Amino acid sequence: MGIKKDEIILYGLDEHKDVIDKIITEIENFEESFDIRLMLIEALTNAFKHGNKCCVERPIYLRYVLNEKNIKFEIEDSGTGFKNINIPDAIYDENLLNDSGRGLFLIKCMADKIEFKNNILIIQKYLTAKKNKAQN
Amino acid sequence: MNDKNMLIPKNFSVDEADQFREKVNALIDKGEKDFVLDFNNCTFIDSTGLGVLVGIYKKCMELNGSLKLHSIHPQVMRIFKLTRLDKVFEIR
Repeated sequence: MGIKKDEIILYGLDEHKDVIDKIITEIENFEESFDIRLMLIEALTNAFKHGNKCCVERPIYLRYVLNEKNIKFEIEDSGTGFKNINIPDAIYDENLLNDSGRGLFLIKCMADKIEFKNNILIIQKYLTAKKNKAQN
Repeated sequence: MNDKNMLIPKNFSVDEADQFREKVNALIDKGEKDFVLDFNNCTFIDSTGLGVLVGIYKKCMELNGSLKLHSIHPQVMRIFKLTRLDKVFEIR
């Protein structure tokens, strides 16, 4: 498997599940599909709701680079950028029953590296090849 | 007391979660306040799904009702544990 890269442009969230399904198909030989699906749903939902203020005319760019060891995503919205982002290491008692606010926390839990650059969220995840069941 | 049994969709995120919230809210408006949520089909949940469950939980508690969850898949349970909601909900 060589390096695979792509850029997808989304307007709104109508097609985001199809796009994620396509990426998940590309990594079907790795163990991390649940985590990657979750990170992408959270990142794209955030980009649409917070970055693009739910405007379906503003683009969201989803770029990724995949090799046999890791996958790196860049999710770029059309907003003014992430400011004063401080993602906690745990959900504390006082926030336990909040209706929202778990998205970035979950991305941080799932990712090996998370970085904010202006209006771009960069996520990196190491991949583990699935064991061949026939060999078990 | 009759518990209302509800099946959680396979992919409990974004649109499906919003639809489920509306369905439960309609039942609450009709007087239901005791819910049993069956996660047997559910293999994925995101923060929207979690938020919907928290909202239902808070409404049920306000009404002196109950919310029980069961048959949760390991990956979904991992998300409950990470967000500590496994300590909030009654899970069988």
